[in-house]
Amino acid sequence: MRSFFIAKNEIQHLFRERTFFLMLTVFILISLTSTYIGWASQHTVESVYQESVITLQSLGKTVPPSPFSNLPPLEIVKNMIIYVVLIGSLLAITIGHSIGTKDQRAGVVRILFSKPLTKKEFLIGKALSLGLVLFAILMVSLIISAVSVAMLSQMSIVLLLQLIEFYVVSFFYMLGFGFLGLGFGLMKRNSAIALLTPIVIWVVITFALPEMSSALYPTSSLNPILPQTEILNSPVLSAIHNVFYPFSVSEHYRVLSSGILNLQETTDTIYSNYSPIICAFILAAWVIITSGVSTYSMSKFDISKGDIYE
Amino acid sequence: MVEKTIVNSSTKEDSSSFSFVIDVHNLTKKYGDFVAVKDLTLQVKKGEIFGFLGHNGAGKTTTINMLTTLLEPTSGSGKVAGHDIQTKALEVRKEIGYLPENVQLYDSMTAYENLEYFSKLSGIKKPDTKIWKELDFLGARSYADQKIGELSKGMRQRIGIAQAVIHEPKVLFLDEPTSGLDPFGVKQLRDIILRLNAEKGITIFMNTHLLQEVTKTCSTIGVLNHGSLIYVDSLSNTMKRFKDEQSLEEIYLTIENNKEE
Repeated sequence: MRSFFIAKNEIQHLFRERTFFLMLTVFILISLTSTYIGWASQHTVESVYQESVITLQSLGKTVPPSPFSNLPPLEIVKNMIIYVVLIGSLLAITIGHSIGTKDQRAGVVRILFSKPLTKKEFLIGKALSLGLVLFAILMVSLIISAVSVAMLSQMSIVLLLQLIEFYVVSFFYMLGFGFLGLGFGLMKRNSAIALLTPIVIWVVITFALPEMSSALYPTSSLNPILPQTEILNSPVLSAIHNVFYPFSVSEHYRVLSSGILNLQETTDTIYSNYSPIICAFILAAWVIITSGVSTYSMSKFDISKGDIYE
Repeated sequence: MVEKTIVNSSTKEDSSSFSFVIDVHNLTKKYGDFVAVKDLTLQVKKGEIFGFLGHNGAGKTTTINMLTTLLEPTSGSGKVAGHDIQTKALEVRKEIGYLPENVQLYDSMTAYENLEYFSKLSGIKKPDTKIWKELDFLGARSYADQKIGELSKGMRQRIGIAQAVIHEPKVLFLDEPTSGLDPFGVKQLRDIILRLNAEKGITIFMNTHLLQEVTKTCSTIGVLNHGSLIYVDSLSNTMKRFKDEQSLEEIYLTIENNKEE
């Protein structure tokens, strides 16, 4: 029961923090605009196509098929995948960090633990608030996406279920970063280091690991034609890819989300992605490991010195 | 040379019926090679106001941390309100109130919200009546809706005390309670401590290095020097024993000097 009081208190506090509000506003605004941007880019190309159809028909030439004729309806929300990776995860780190450091910053750790409160209840309360806040944010984002897809494209039960599935996967992906923020917030006595450490991990996962795995074949990301040069088939590159690819969580999230939304891959690569099941397994492992970081931090948390905070 | 007097207070004659709310034996806390508290054996009777004296770094806060179950002792044993501090930590916490030095609460929450939160963590399901009762007792009702960050240190201290006693604890631990308060604030806090003891029957264990505070509030004193308890007795006995010294400050220095000799 005390965990619920902790969770309620965390949520109350979070909504009084400026950083959280700033990140939340950015994320919600991006959710609002993402579908429109997706629709607008399709609409622009479609307009250009229609113009060319008229020109080609007047010249008596053969008209090629529309490039967007076979695109899935949820194509217009594909930008959300990138926004979750770039902004959603940072938002989750900010929330986790805020929840993890709140009591230390307030200087109330010793008072809290002079009450009949266990470390386990304390951590469950914090994790619960983290999960609830992320859930609420993604619910809002889901509603925005669903409404905008219905307005700009089409909507059905199947499409709605696909969107829900996408947001569930996004929830777990972001939850992992939230746990990192929470874990390092509890572990580090210095607020700046507590925030910077998970951000460095985020940079590694989001940028460095993909560079050393899926982005090792630069032409494949620029050109839909399979790379022809032999140098790109180098065993060294393959070895590096094989070593780092399993840890490229953001890449697996992207692949899994693309599959859920039925998005077409616009580029081919000379390596094959993991199957959705393996990607889901890696995401599950990601959440388990990061929650383990929080649990470990809590076990080492010194309740007699928790108020000494920089 | 002053001998250490253990479990001594003003009423030695009924020692058989004493019920100790704090009863520790050979309590020791080490940080590597450094001994913060060494073989502390101490009993505090129900209803006492116990002043725990010592210079900065003597081990007073470490002792309170162990008694409030915030810190695991390296060795020794202890009971607070009848519960073992090592094996029944949660039971101990149900029976105690604690106010650390330089009390901090959630600045962005109002006094009422802070008290509501801490009351619920203390196990009070519907704390509203108790909160108002406590705020009235401490003369802080009009500050209930103010954010803690907007309150003076003295008022914040009162709200801190309210969170510590709202669940009606048997023992209240105060760590340097008058630290940073102006003389008026010190007097008000002293009155509150005396009223908590007299009207609510709460045993008070108070860390301090201010001797004036001890003479005006405490019934028994203990002196800690470099982690070792070098003196325990009632304030009245202490005054009788050291009648040559003019003030408690002189008594304190005599005790410390004798120990060091």
